[in-house]
Amino acid sequence: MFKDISFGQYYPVNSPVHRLDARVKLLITLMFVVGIFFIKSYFGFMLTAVVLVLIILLARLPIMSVLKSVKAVLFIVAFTALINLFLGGENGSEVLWAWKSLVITKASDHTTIKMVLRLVLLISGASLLSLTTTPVALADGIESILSPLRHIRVPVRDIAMIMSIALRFIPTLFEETNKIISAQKSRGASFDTGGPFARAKALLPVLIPLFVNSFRRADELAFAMDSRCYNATDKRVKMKVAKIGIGDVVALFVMCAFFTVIMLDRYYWCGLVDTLIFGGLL
Amino acid sequence: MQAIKITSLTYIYSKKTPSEKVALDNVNLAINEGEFVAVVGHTGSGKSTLVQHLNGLIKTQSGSVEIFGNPTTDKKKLKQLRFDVGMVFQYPEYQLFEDTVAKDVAFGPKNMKLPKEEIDNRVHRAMELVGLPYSDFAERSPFELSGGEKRRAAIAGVIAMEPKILVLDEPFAGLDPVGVEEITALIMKLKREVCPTVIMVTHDMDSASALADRVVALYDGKIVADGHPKEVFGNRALIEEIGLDVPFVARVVDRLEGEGICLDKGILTIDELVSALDKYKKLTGGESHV
Amino acid sequence: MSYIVLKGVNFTYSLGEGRSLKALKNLSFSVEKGSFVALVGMNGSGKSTLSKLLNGLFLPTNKQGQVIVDGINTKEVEDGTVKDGDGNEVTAFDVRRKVGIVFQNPDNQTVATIVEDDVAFGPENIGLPREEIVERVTSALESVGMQDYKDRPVSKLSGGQKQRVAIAGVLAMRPDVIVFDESTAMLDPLGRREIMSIAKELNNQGITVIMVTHNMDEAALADRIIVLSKGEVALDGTPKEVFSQDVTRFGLTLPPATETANRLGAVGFDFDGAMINEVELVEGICKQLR
Repeated sequence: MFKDISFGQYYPVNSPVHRLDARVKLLITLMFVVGIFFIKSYFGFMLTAVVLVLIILLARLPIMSVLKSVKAVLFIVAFTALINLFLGGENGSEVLWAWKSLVITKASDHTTIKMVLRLVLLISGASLLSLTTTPVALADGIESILSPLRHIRVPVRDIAMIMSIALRFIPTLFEETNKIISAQKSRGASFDTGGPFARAKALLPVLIPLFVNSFRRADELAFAMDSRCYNATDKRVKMKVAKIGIGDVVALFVMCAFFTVIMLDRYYWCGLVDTLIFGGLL
Repeated sequence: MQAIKITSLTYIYSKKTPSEKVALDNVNLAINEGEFVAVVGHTGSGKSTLVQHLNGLIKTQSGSVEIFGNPTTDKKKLKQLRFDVGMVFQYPEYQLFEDTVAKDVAFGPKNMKLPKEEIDNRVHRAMELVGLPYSDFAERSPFELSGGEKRRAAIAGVIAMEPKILVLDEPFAGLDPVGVEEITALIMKLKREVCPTVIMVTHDMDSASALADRVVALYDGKIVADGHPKEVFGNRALIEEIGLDVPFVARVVDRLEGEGICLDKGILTIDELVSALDKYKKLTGGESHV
Repeated sequence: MSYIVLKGVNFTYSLGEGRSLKALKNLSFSVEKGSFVALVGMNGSGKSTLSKLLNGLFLPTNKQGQVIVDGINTKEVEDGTVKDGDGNEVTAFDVRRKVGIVFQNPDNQTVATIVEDDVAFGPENIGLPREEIVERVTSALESVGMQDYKDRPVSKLSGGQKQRVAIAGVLAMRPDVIVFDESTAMLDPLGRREIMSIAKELNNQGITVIMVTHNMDEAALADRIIVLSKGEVALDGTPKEVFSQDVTRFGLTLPPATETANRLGAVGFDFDGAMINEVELVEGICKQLR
C-alpha cells in the first residue's frame, strides 16, 4: 500500500551535486521551481528537461529513483490533466473534440500538455533535492536560512530539530504502518471496499495503533535526547559546517543563467524559439 | 489431512530494480494437520516472507500455496483464508486499537460477519482461553494492561476467529521469563483446544527444539533442513553453516564430547541430558572410584 | 570506590485521579567504579525506573532519597547551587555526561537520519569544539565497529547495528558509566551477542557497565547481580551466590546451566556451588565422571 515512497529518501552516493551546500541547493531548487512557472514555450520545457537530466547524471542518480517520486503523484497529475483538458479551452480556439458541454480545443490541448510537463518537472526537481541532500543537512540549511527570524523570537533551532526528527522517522513509520495493515488484514479487515465513509472508518484500526505507538516512540525518544544532553547549552556546535565552495558558486551561476534564459524566452523572445525549432508543427 | 501445501514457491522483492532480492527460492513444503512446525533461520533468511504467503498477505509470484486444498490465489475465498490461518505477528500488542479488550477481540469475528450472539460467545471463549477472564477484563482498555496481558489480549483477537492453523512470529520477543513461560503454556493449550496445526517462526533454538515436533530451517530463501528437531539439530555442521545457534543442551553435549564423554548427538532437552549422564555415570561410575 | 550511591530512594508515579504507583521502595545500594553489574527482575519490578534515576532523568520522589553520582547529588544540581572545585556550576547535564543510557528500542533513540550525525548529537549538544566532535565521533564508531557505516541511513541497518550506533552515541559523551536498559531485548541472537561483547569490551577498558536484562545468561556474565522485586532489592551478590538461591520466587528463571546442574544433583551428581555457564557445568560434570 505505502511502498515506493521516495520522499525523504536520501540516495547515498558521492557526487558534486551531493557535495553542494544545502542552502545553495535550497536556493537553486527555489529558482528552479519559480522558473518552471514562468516557462511558456516548448523550448523552455526542453531546456529545463535537459538541465534536469544533466543534474541527475551529475548527481549519479538512477533515473528511476527520480521517476519514482513522479509515479507517487501520478494520480494527481492525471486528474489535473483531465480538468485542464476539458476546462482549459479558450473561446475561439480550434475545436478538436466535443461532446455535449465537454469540449477539447487546440488551446486546451496545449495547456494540458504544458501543465503535465510543468508538474513532472516540478516534482522531479523537488525530489532531486531530497535525493541528494541528507535530511539533516536540509534541516540545517533551512535553519540557517531562517536564522534571522531568531531575532523576532522564532525558535528556529527547535523547528529545525523537529523537521529533522520528522524526516528521520518517515521510514520507521511507513514500515510500522505496513506491519499494522498486514496484522489487521489478517483479522479480516479490508481497506478497499465500501463507500468513502466506510473506507475512512476502516482505517481507524490502522491509525489508532499508529498514533498510540508514535506517542510511545516520542516518549522514549525524549528520554534518549534528554540523556544525551539536548538543550544543555545555547552554544550548540554543529559537527558538519556548511562552507560555500567554488562548486556552489558555479552551481548558482549556472542556475541564474538558466533562470535568465527562461525569463528572456517568456518576455522578450515570446515563443520565437519555438517557431524556429518546431516550425509549423504547433 | 494436509493443511498446507507449498509448491516451488519463489518470491523476489523489488523485482527488476537494482535492489532486487530473492526472498524465497523454489520452496516446497507440505505440513499436515496436527503438526507443530518451527521455522528457523537467521534474520533475512525468508521466514517472514514465507509465513505471510500462508494467508495471502503476500501474493504468490511463482509457484503455489494451498491451504486445505484451496489455492491462496482464489480471490473469492481470500477472507475465509484469513480466518482459517490465524496470524500472530511479532509484538502483536502494538496492533490493539479498540477502547475495550472485548471490542478488540471482537474485531476479527465482526469482520467475519457472524451473528452477534456467536461473536459474544467467541469473545468470551477466546478471552478465557488466553487467561484474561471476561468478567475482569472485558471492559478494560487494552492500553492499560501489563505487557504480558496485552500480548495475550492480542492473541485472543486472533483466536476468536477460531483459525485452523495458527502462525506465530517470534511470540516470545521482549518478554520476561515469566511471560515466556505463560506464552509457552498458552501456545500448547491453543494447539490442544483450538488450532491443532501450529507454525512458529523463531530465533530461539531452545524453544524451537523444546516445543516443535518438526523444524524447517531456511537459508537464503531455500529450505536447507526439514525434520525432527533431533535430526535437524543433530547435524551440527549444517546448523553452524547457516548461522543458527546450537541449542543449549546440544552445546553441552558437544563440550562433553570434547572432554571424551560421548553422548547421543540427538539429546536436546535437559531431561534427556540428565538421564543420559545418569546412565553414563552408572556405567563408568565404578571405575572412577577405583 | 563507589561511583554511584543510592540512599533510601523511593519513586512513585502519580497516575492522576489521586492514584499512584510505587515503583521503588527505600532502595539503597552502591556501584563500584569499573564493575559490571546486572540488574534483573520481572516486568514491573522497577528496573527501568531505576535506570532513569541513575542519570538524573528521574529524581527520587521522597525527601530523604538520594542518588549520588561521582559525588554529585542528582537532586541538588537541579537548582543550580552546586559548584565544582573551580567554582563552575555543576548541572544536571554533567550527571548525564557521566552516566549514559542505551535504551531498549533500536528505532526510538536515534535522532538523525545518518549514522555519524546521530553519534555527533550528544557532543554537539554540549558545545564541544568542532575538531573534538569529529574525533569523538570517529573513535566512538570505531569502538563499536561501525566506522564503515558512518554515511549510511540508520533506518537501513539491522537491529544490532542500530544498537551499536546508539552505544556509539553514548560513548561520544565519554561517560564513566553506561546503563544498558534492556538494550538486547529486541534483538536477534547475533545482535545480542554483538552488544554483550561490546559491553564486556567497554568494561575491560574501565567503563562501569550496568546491564538491565531479562536474559539470565547475560546476567551470568556480570561480576554482580542485583535482583529487584516489587521495587526492592531482593538479592545482591555474585552470579554464583544469586543463582544458588531460588530466584523463581522473584519471577526469574535460572540460567540453563544452573538448572541442569540442579537436576543432575537430584540423580546423585554433586557440584561445588551454582554452575552459571556451560563451561563450568561441563567441567563440573567431567570431574565427577573421570
